[in-house]
Amino acid sequence: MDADTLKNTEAEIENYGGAEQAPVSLKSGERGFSLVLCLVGLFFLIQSIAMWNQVSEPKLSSAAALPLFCSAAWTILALWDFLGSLRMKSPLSGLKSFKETAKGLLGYVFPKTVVVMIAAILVYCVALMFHISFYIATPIFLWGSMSYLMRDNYVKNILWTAILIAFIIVVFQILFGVVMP
Amino acid sequence: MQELSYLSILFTQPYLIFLVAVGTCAGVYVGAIPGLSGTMAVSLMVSFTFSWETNSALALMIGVYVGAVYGGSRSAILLNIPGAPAAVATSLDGYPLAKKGLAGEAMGIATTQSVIGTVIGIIGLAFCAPLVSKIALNFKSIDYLMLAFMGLMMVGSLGSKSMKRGIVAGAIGLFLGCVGVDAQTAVKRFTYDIVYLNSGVDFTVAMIGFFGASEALIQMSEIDVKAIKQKISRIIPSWSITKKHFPLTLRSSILGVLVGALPGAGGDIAALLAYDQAKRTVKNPEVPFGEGAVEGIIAPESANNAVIGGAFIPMLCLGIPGDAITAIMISALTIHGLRPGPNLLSTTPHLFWLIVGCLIFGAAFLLLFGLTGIKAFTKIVEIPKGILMPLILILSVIGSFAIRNSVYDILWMFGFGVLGYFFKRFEYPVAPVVLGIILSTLFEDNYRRGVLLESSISGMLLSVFKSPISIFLFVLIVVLTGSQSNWYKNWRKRKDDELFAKRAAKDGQAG
Repeated sequence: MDADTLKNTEAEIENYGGAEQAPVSLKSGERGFSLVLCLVGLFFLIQSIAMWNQVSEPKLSSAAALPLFCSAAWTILALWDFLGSLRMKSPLSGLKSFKETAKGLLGYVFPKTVVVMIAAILVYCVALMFHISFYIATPIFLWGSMSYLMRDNYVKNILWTAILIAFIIVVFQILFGVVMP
Repeated sequence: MQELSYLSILFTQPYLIFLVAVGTCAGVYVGAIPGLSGTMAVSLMVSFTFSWETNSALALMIGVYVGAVYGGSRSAILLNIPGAPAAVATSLDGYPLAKKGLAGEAMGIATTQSVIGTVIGIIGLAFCAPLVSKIALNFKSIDYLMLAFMGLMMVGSLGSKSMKRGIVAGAIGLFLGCVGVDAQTAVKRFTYDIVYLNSGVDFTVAMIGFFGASEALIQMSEIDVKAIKQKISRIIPSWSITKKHFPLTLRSSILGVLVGALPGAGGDIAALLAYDQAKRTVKNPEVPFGEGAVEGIIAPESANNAVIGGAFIPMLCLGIPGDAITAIMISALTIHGLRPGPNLLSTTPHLFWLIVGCLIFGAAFLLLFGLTGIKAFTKIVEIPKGILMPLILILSVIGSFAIRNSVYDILWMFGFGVLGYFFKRFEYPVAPVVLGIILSTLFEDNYRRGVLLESSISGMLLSVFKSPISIFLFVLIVVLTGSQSNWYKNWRKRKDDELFAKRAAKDGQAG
């Protein structure tokens, strides 16, 4: 639950209670995301139509029916949402140069912290896939990410890492009997 | 009497009571820590407890559920950051009370109201579920189809920016549920020759990704947000206030049970609706709403906990979840070889009464843990996100791996996590996606059965008017959809404005 949500709570309650919806503005990149969703939906709709054409009768109860209906609903409503968003303003609307727009968009969609953490998780997953021991990869990931996110306390984070690893081993491996990656 | 013997099973297996206690205690803290939620915790629990005996797994998960719904109120009152969506309404009056130095009283009220709400929810569950189960035996495929549709609509429209987005998310979920080899025709659907996809998208992996990893990523994007802390030494339960406002508690709890029993609508919706009805019905609060009115804590806290009992009704009787956590519990029961639905109560009545028993103990432990451990609580809530979020990611990794011991599941979980991050960033709801994946089998089976029985889609749709149950469900869908339309909202606003104007005029005359 973030602070923005809390700020909007009063408006939300009014909304549930039946009041008129407040004018909606878009987040940076929201319109683009609606379009991407619509295009992905369209791709699967085309695939579903191809599957529908391949299956034999009775088509209505075939394996292609539900995917066709779902992808059609997905595409149509995502398109409707995208078209509706064309009338709304986003924080990027006033920006003229492509550079500024891209900077604003990436700043919102991919904050540096998130990009670094996604990269760290990917590296961690790849390490596990290459059979690097969980007990080596995990402490490194934990210490590295804590040190990055807290930007301080490198020594203290070693203690935190040890506590968390001990917690994982005791609770999940010993108590829950979970097999570790 | 048979019911009592089933309920007594808990006393013959004290470790189940212990597990409920552990779960409730953990749930209170999970719910209280901003960024962690009951949904996230229960989704992780599914993977960690899948090798356990069903009763033990359920006892732990129910404890977490009960504790987490209440836990959100603590950080809402103390930090002005609701620990869970169901506590959003509580912060509106809870935090102003805390700022006046009445945090102990506010938390005492929240605890007692949550316990009363939970108990009323349990009563609702114990009495209504057997009735609903009997009625559900007469349900036809079109009825199940409508219920599944209603669930997707409700969870999508009530909690999101627009109904369209909710339906898009639900459709994506249903579509993802179709991926893999079709069980009836053996046709490969959207597998693209990837062997991993033949068995379909694992809903537990998707669940952990959408609720666990994505939330951790979102929290990391707001890592610098700091809460203003309130000091508190003990929680004071206020019995006189409880007695005085019992009618409001009862009204809000009944509302909570009803909202919970609607497929897809959960504690957040119930709390907001209860807060709204309290604002409308309490004419002269001692302190205005929004400035520390006790009614502003009583209504949402009793309603959001009453949802628990209500949400179990459609889950156990129809196999359709009442909210996000019961959706996860359906998957847990499925993993344990059980199929929630109208036959569950007749074939495994002990399981139903075990759930009721666990909820009763959960309510008792909620009172205990709700009124104690404040020092530990203030320490735990202050753990920085920089430490918690990497831990959540690691738990998501362990949880997704634990299902099938497959490293590929970790990658898929992470993929769903990133997708969920985008959804949350752009205000698309994630719950309908997970609900869609879980409901896809029920949806497709009943669709196929309906079409085959009536020979056409139009025949299936017209069969809605052949039975009173179908007509009732159809009317319910129309009413619920209508109540979310802008036309209805504008009409209600006009009505409210007129009412407030009349009241103001009356007050003016009296003055």
